[in-house]
Amino acid sequence: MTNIKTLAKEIRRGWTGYLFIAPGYLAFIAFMLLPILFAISLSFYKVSFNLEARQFAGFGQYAILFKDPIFKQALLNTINYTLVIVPATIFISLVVALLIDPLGPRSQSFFRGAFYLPGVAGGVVLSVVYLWIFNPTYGLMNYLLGLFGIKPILWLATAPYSFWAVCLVVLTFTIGQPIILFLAGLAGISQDMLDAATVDGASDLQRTFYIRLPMLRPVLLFVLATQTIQVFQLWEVIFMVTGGGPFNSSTSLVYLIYQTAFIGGNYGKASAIGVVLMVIIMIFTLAQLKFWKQTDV
Amino acid sequence: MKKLTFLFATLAILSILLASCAPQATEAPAVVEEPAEAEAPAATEAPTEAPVKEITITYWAFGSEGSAMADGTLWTDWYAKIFDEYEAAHPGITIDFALKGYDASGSTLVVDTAVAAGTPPDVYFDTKFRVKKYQDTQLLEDLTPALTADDIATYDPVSIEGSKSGDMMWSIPADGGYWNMIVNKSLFEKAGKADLLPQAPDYSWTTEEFMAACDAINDPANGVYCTAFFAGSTSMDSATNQWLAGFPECKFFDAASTQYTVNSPACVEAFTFMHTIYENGYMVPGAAGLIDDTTDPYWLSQQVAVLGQGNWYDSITKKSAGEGAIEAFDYIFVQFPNKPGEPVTPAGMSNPDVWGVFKQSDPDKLQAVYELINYMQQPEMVSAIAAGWGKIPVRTDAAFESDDPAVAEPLAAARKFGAYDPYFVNGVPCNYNDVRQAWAEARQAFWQDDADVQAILDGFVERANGIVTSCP
Repeated sequence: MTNIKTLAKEIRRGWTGYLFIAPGYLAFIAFMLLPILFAISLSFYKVSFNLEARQFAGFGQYAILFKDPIFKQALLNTINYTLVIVPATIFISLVVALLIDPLGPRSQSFFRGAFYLPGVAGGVVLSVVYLWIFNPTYGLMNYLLGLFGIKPILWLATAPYSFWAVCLVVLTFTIGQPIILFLAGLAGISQDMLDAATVDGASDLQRTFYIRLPMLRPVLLFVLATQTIQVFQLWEVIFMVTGGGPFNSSTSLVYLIYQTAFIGGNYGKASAIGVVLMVIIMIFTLAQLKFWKQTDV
Repeated sequence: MKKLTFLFATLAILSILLASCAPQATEAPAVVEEPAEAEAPAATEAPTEAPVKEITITYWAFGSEGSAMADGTLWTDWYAKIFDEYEAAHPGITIDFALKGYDASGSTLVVDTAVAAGTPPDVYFDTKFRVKKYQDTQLLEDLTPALTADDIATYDPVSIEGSKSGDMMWSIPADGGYWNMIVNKSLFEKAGKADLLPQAPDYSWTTEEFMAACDAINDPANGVYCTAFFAGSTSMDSATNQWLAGFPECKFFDAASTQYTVNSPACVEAFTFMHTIYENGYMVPGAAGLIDDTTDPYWLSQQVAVLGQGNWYDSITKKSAGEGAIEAFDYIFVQFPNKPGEPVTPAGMSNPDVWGVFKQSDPDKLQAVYELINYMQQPEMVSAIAAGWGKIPVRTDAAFESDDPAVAEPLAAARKFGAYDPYFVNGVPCNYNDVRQAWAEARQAFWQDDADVQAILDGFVERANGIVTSCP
């Protein structure tokens, strides 16, 4: 009660400020908070397109979910995507940023643009390109493998290749943004510190490991957090490239939500999957926050 | 930890509050009382008595802006003309028409969203399986009053039964594709193997004759495959199921017991035959990852010699050749191969385009909708719709015309062997979209090396029957 009174007092005191931020908050409430709460409430119902005919099911949808082998597969795949794509994105983009950093401004601009461009094109456009690249008979990938005498691989038709195919497509457009962030982080490192290390006899590799990388830690953690959330929400590439197949080997939680809700018409179960995903991301984000606090970043 | 507990508690309380604010959960709305003996008048009958009630009918058909009919006319232009005429003949009636797209995976997001928001269209025209999902949630009207006894008598009984749940006619079929096989005759002629193809008047062949022709034409080294399958999505699973018609003992679904029976010995035999095509390398590799759309380029670039879904490939070949995108080639329609000793395979007709009507609260409007549907399902109208989609009208008195003898002759032959529904003979079970997803996954497992046919079909049947059992 005291807290509410204090809050009301705060609002009265700074009402103009609150007025300025109100549109943002109203939009957040209307388009984020309320839909989230509605999804949470739907997860306790057996419900399809006809919302008025919904039946209360308690935790029934969750019970069904945790017995569902496809849900378990999707959960496992989502974790695997995260474990593969996030470290790969960070590693590749960091290496690229370190290679670009010493170049002149024009060259840097060129490479920044070149690596960022796939991200602008978006997952859908890239997926269409990759459908051609992965085509079993006339695709570029199998043509290149053939040059080395390797038998054609049915990239989208066999597990686990379909999983790796999705990873490859995603990596094409996820590395652009981290490269820009890492370059910005590298530009912020004091040249005096690097020069002092050079005077002390440090090699370029030592300067990278003992100065650049530690100084990049805030950017690194930011990239880690945003990339993880992004990969947890992986959907469009799976939709375009594999359709979750073959036999669910490449499906993800978000794709399963889409299928359950919009193909199967099971809004209750889809909402339950959404809630589970939300909890997973929330736990991860809280762990990140704790880690940031502990490491004093 | 306290903050976390507070956060979850707040979320839970707000969710409960929100749920209680949402529209009350109720029993499914009762069916609107049917008007007695609705005899649908002809389009030209204009009411002359009493002031007319203004009624707006929302009519959505699948497609998107720019979708064109087979002859190049935009669907929007065609519908605008039809509805202008209808409105002129029916004062007080306004038709609010729109094409609402769906994606390749078979999703109908726009319609689903409108339904969930409580603002569905009055009339929805789409494929049967997509309309069926709304029937599963008791959202559709019974359309029996929209048809006269004379109308019903003109329908293929298999198709009309497939639009019913019990006695309730939740949809009316307009047109469908006959899933004949299509054969690139030019390829066989070039290879000097045209004599292996089915001949007039029946254009039929056995599975053994099919395999012999396949063996002769298959040339993977030069990028030519005998045939192709696809299982990457739920779309067009009928193209695979149609093969079962050559094995008459095999039933995908048993209407009497409402159970899936595609794991029977006859079906296992059929699928084992199909897997032989895979094992022999007679088909485009990667069927488990291909979808119907990705198969099109193989046909158009003459990399595949024989395919199901003949009507579709006929239409895209004519279109692409007409636009100069491909070099024209000769092709013919033939029947699907039948097991030796079994009758000639009937033509498959599956998943027709149908009209569905969402629940109405105004009896006058419902009556107006019935009249509109009756008008749209008249022979001339469905002929035009079918021609627009490169399909065949379901009404047997609606003309199907083709000036292409390669199409018309075998189709006429196919019709004399009857129609075959690759799925059901008596209605569509509920939750069919879930079953189709399970079927896509089973087919993906099937198109793999060393696939255990019996185990895959057993697994599918167990899952599909579980889905049917969970129906309300």
